Amino acid sequence: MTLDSKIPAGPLAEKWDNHRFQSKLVNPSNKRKYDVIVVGTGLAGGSASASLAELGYNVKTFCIQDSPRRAHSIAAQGGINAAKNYPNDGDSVWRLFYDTIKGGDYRAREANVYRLAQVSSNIIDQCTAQGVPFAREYGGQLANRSFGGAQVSRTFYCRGQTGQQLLLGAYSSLMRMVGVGKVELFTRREMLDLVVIDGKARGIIVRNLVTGTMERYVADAVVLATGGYSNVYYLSTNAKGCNVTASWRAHKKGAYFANPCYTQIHPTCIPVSGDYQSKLTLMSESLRNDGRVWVPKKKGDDRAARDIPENERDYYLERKYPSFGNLVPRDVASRNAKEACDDGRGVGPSKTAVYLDFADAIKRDGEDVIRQKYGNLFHMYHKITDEDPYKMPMRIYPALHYTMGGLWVDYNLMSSLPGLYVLGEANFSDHGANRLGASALMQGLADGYFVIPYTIGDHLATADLPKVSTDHEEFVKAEKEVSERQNKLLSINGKRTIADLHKELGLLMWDNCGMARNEASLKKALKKIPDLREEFWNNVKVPGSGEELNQALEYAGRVADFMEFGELLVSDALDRKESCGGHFREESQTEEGEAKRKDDDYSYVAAWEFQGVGKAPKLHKEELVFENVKLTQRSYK
Amino acid sequence: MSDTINLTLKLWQQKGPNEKGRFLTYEAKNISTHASFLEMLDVVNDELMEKGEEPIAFDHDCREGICGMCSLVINGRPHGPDGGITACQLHMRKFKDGETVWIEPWRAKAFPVVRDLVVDRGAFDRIIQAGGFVNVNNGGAADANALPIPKRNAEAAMDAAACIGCGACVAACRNASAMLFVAAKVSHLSFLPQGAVEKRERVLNMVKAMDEEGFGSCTNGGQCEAECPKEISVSNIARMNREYLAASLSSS
Amino acid sequence: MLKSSLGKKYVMSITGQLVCAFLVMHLAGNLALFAGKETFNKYAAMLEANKVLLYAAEAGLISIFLLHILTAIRLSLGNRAARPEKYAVYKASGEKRMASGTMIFSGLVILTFLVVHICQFKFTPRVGDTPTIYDVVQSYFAQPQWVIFYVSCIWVLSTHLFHGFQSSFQSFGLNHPRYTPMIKAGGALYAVSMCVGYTAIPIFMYLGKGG
Ligand SMILES: Cc1cc2nc3c(=O)[nH]c(=O)nc-3n(C[C@H](O)[C@H](O)[C@H](O)COP(=O)(O)OP(=O)(O)OC[C@H]3O[C@@H](n4cnc5c(N)ncnc54)[C@H](O)[C@@H]3O)c2cc1C
Ligand code: HEM
Ligand code: FES
Repeated sequence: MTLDSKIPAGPLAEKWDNHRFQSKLVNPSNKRKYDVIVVGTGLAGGSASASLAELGYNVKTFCIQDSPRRAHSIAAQGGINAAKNYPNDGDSVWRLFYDTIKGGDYRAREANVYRLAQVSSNIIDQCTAQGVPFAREYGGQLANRSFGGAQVSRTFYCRGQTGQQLLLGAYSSLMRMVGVGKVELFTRREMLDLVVIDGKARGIIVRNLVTGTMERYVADAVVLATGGYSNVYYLSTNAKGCNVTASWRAHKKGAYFANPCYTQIHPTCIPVSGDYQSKLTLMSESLRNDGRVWVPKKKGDDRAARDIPENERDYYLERKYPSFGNLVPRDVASRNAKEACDDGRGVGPSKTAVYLDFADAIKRDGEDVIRQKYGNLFHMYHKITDEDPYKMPMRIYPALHYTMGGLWVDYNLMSSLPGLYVLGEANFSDHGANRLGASALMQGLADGYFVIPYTIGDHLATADLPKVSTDHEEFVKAEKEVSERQNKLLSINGKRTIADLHKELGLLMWDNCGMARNEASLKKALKKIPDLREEFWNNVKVPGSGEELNQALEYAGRVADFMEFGELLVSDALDRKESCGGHFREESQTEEGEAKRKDDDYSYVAAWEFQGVGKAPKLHKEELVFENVKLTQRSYK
Repeated sequence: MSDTINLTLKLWQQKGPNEKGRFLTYEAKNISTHASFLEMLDVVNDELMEKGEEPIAFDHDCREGICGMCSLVINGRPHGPDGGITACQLHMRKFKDGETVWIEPWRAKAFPVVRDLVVDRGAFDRIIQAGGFVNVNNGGAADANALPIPKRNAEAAMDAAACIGCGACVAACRNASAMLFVAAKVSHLSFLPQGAVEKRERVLNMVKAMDEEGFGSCTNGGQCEAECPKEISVSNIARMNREYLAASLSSS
Repeated sequence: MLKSSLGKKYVMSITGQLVCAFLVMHLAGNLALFAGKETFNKYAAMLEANKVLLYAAEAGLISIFLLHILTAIRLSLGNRAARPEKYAVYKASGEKRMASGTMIFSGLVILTFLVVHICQFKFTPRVGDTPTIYDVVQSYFAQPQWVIFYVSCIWVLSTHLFHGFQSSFQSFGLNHPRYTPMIKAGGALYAVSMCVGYTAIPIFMYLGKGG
């Protein structure tokens, strides 16, 4: 099968209009004859469910939490971008497009990104109409801030809870549609397999997490919006329930997985404090506007921060990047922190942290000014670490935060499996090798509110979709496979806890395929993951039964999928012998140690086809064509 | 100062909604004071599993105080002894060595126990479904700046909208009343011109749904506000009382 | 509207406030006791003079009380049913937990008190040793056990008022950053004044007799 991205012809700015015009429509009175399954109720799934139901489709929506409002999108803090140009500072659709393409290190499709920038404004309008309480100026107009190093102020926000408010907006629309009977909502359900009939996605198998029963659902199209896979690294800023299961099972059923090695590591997280640690907490990167990053010059320096004199400190970012200093992009800041720690100059009990020091800022502006700007964050840091950042420097360390890779989709957001659509963080589409701050929320909502409602109709109107029932043999087969796998997990009764094995996988991934990767480390990981997977399947302990609420069983299933998926991620990283965005291959760097892209060889999307567990996946390349932007190397010196 | 403590835990165990529950007494040893409360439970559960016993089920997800999933009554207080935070943000340094810690689920008829410490909060979703939205279809919304909103109102709306739907208000209320939750949504939307249009129908429908779920009524005791991890004010309840009265008197 | 939980609270609030107002009038009238036997008996006679008005007022009061009490019982039963399984440990902190958590109990104490009170002062025959209402009052308040009974009931009533007065504003939606603290202070002042006023009567009557 060759990959057809279905990018519409014509000038960039007209592609989306032309495409919408050319797509087949489903007659309004016929829409109620179509059933659509949406898995996930985050920004992407919630907005898609609501929009499709409003159009008249019968929607069945699933999530693993007890309520759709708890999807992980709720945790996003900073904001959402849109090319509104309200501050009149020179923003435009084109500039947002350009920034996103460049920020993604030229590894995303121009057409998709342009469309994203085009619809960004509608998102803000739509959310405002729903009652999302965006921050406002005294005149009553919407407020903007600049975010993630952008030169214009285009980020809309609701205090530090933007994701929450946007998600509650989508959730309220979704619940409204549940109320009128257009959406049937299934909470505490986990999708465990995709059902493919005659080459088309036609249904899913889910486990009812309360009763443990397997349930079958049939539809004319399936939409996955199940979020990212950061938790393959065990420790990340993601919620505990975030998983790759739905995507991975779809991948095993034929959907290609694109660019899994593009992962984003956020530099300002609260470091690990012990082996009981279950997740990492992100602190807004705005802290780097006033904080100075440093480590001691001497290795293994055990003195308290305040006892280390100025001349024995290494403000390494300011030293290496005089013009950007502490404000270098996320990946550069992260990598340098790692280097310092690897060099034995890390601080704190675990020696894997660097200082983020506000002493100078406090001396300059006074504690009150700093409190006004960062009071919340300082408070959160204090609660978690019991250390007062007004008195001693914060300790920070990078953590896995976002995954740009995901299931491969075409311009219509349809995967390589007809009838299977993928939205939000679960797809690979818009961020290339690196995502800009405040762009994930934008993408999730763009996909759900403004893309899928148009593109799904074309498939429903043109594909041959005979009626099938849940008694179809493919349903029976899929359910049987899922049940068998579950029974196997329950019967191992080994010695190791699930978390223990998950931690081991996470550490393996982090050490060998984390902030910096090289051929040797990747090969090592590729060798070790299958062994660990085997250990998992022989020695994990999963208590209880399958016929009840069993959180350990749920977790075991997810970790089992990470054990397979991790291998794909590493294979992809090994294949890509260039550094780009969040993917830093040590072999591919400039003399000064900066990332070096190799556009001639790697300007493609790597879409992987599943060949069997433990078998090398098959690579399909989608060449990226840049007609509108000129490719340049990033430099922050 | 020692960095670890020992605790006696009283953990609520209940197989299902219709089964009788009981407390499991568990001696938790060498708990790091830097661990979060849920991490402490993780450790306990791992130990239980290693011993071949079933772990205690509890809800959690984001572990940073925003998803509203975690729901533990710790020593008689929803989300535990520290104010303005959720159970997942609570740290073990708030406990003394040798202390006995009681851990119970949200207790309310409208929140039946699913298992152990996990309860079913579907009632909240059904209340939102009854009216906690603006009746606006996707597409065709006017420019976001077409309707200026006084900063004060936007901030007040945001204060109310900060609710994470965890249900601590119900758990804390002596009557298991859901007034603070419902009032927060009613207030959030009626503070904004977009939502004010249908404020009458909204408050009538949401209160009706709330009453049908079997929550108690409000005696204005203020436990909800005191225990709310987002410190949402009971002034929202007054606002809802006002709007409900106006809506009832003017509806046909 | 009155079927809803909020509707019932409006009933509680209005009836409660009306009774609060009655308490003030009742106290004001009863202060006549301090002016001596004659004044008080005159005041009582005046109240009893117009039978129509008296019955109307009594009927009104009784219905207000009944409404308040019946609604209170319905609400309280509903509230208990809302939490079938109690907490083993319950320490949720509200600002006025004591008073607000015991409304039904203080209410029931008040109810008992009312019954006793009415039996004593309305239905004690005014003959023999106690030919006038003043004598009736005096005879009861000469007995320390009744003084203690009255004083304690009024204490309980005051806790009811302490929470109830300000709560009824909230129930009607009157909450404002500037005025709510005043209402709360007003409620406390009201409860304390009622407490002082009403307890003063038995105590002074008792002391008056002794001294
Ligand atoms: C701490 C943090 C802060 C962030 N801040 C920002 C920010 O400021 N700006 C920004 O733009 N982005 C931010 N991001 C990124 C952004 O929040 C996410 O990328 C985005 O919200 C993902 O949305 P989604 O709808 O794709 O997935 P999610 O919100 O993760 O939703 C996934 C849904 O899928 C369901 N699901 C998952 N698996 C299954 C299954 N097997 N079966 C059934 N259902 C399933 C879940 O229940 C859930 O409903 C942040 C991320 C984090 C972690
Ligand atoms: C002197 C007599 C009384 C006065 C002045 C009085 C006054 C009040 C007031 C002002 C309220 C507050 C209403 C609100 O919150 O909106 C109230 C509540 C209440 N009253 Fe009374 N009351 C009296 C007698 C009684 C009696 C006899 C009962 C008997 C059972 C009673 C039971 C209650 C209860 C249970 C509440 C709380 C209702 C709730 O908020 O759930 N009261 N009262
Ligand atoms: S786990 Fe999300 S709020 Fe506690």
